[in-house]
Amino acid sequence: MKITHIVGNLSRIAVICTVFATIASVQMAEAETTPLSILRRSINARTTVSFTGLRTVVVFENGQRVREVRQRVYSQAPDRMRVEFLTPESERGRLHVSVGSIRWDYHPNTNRAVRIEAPPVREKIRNRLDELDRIAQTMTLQHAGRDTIAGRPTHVIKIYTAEGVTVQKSWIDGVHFVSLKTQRFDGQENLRSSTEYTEISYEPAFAPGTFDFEPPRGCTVVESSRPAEPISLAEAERKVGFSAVLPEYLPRGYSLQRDRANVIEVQGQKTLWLPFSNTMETLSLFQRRARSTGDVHQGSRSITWTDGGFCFTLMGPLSRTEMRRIKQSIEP
Amino acid sequence: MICKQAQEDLVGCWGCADELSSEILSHLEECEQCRHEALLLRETQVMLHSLPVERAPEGLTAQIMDRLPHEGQQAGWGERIARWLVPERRMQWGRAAALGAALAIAIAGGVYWYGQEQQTPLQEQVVATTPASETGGDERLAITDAELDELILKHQMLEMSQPLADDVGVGLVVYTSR
Repeated sequence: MKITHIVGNLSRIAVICTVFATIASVQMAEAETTPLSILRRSINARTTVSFTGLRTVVVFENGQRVREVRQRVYSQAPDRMRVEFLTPESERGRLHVSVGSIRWDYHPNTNRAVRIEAPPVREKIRNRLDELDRIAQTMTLQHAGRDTIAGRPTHVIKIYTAEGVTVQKSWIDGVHFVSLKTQRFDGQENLRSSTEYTEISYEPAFAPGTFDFEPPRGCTVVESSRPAEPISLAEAERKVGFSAVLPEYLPRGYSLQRDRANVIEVQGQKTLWLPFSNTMETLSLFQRRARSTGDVHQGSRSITWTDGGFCFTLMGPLSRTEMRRIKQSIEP
Repeated sequence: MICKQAQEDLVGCWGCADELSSEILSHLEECEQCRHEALLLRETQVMLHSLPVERAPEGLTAQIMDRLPHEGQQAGWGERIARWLVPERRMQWGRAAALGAALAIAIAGGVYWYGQEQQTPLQEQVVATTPASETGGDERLAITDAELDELILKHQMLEMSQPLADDVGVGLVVYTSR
C-alpha cells in the first residue's frame, strides 16, 4: 500500500516537473528569438564571430540607385577588419583596415591614407548595447519572419517608428547572428541604402598580413584624432565664441542632443558640432565662421552652404529633399 | 471596401504615411496593390516638387521685342509660317485654340520626355556641377574636399556609436565628398 502511494506521488511529481520544464524551455526558445535578443546577439557577434564574405552596398536617392560598390570583407574577432573595394573601377583598390582602435582608410585615386584613432571596439559594443535598450523603448521591433541570404537561414527583423514608418530591415544569420543584409529607409519609406552579402564563410583562413597596412611610398598620410569628450551646448558656444544657429525644422523624431555638443578643429578653424538623433540614427550640423561666401556644395548625404557670415554643413542619413528643408529652416 | 477607403485617403495625402490612420497603415502592410498606389503617389509628389523653377535671363524680353519685325517691314519666316498655318487675315478662334492646344501638348510632351531622360541624374546634377575639379578649384565652393572629408570622419565616428550602425566599410560608400 505504502509503495503504491509513493509510486503514485513520484509519478505526479514527474508529470509536474515535465510540464514546468516544457513551459520553461518554450519560454527560453521564445526569448532567444525576440527581435531585441536577436539584435543584441547581432551586436555581440561583431566581437565574437570571424568570417570572410562578399557583399554589395547600394545607395539610393529618391528611389533611384546612385551608387553600387562591391566589397570583400575579412573580419577576425574580436577587433580586426579589412574591407577591399572591388567594383566599380573608380573605387577598385580602395581599402579600409582596422585593428583595435586604429583605423586606416586608403584611396588609390588620391593616393591618400587617413589614420584614425577610434574608440576601442569593446567600448563601442558596450555603448551600443546600452543604446539598444533605448531604441526598444522608442521604436517598434518586429520579428518579420525567416529568409535565406547567401545560402544562410536568417531572422528578418523590422524596425518601425511609433507612427508605423519602417526605418530599417535586417536579415540576421540564424546561427552566427551576423547581419547579412540591411535595408535602411527614409521618412517616406523610400529605400535609402542596402547592404547584402552574397557569399559568406564562417571558417575563414586569414593569410598572414591580412590586417597589416603600410601606406604606399609617396602616399599622403593624414592623421585624424578622436574628438574630445562631448560637452553641453552652452559650454561649446563659450568655447567656440559664437552662438549656435539651430534649425526650426527637424524630421519627425529627431531632437538636438544638448549634452553631446563638441568643438573641433577643421583645417585649423574652430567648428561647432551639434548632433541630432532619433535614437536610431544621427545628424550632424557643423557651424563655423565663413572665410568667404561660396556656392552650395551637395555631397552624398551632406550639404554645405554659407549664410550670415557662417559656413554650415549638414550631414546625415536623410534624403536631399529633407536636407534642403532643414537647411531652409536655419536662419542666422 | 478597405482598399477603396485606403486609396481615397492616400490620394488625400499624396501617399504620405504620416497622415494615415493606423487602420489604413496596417492595411498597407498587407495589401500590395494599395502599397503600390502609395508609392506611385509619393513618387509623383517628389517629381512635382523636384521640377526646377526656370527664370528667363535678364533682358530676354527686351531682346525678343527688339527682334520682332516692325510694322511695314517684310514678313519674316516666322510670320510666313504663321500665315501658312492660319491663312485668314483674322485668326479664327477655333483654329487658334486648336493650334495652341497642339503646341502645348507638343511642348508638354517634350518637357516630359526630357524630364524622363534627366530623371535618374536629377539629384546628381547638383553634385556634377559642384566638384572642385570642374569648377577650377575649391575657392568657388563653400567647403573644400579636405574640409568635408574631415567632417565626414567626425560624423562617421558619431554614427558608429549608434547601436545598429553599419560598419565603416559601408559608411565609406554612403558618405562621400562628391
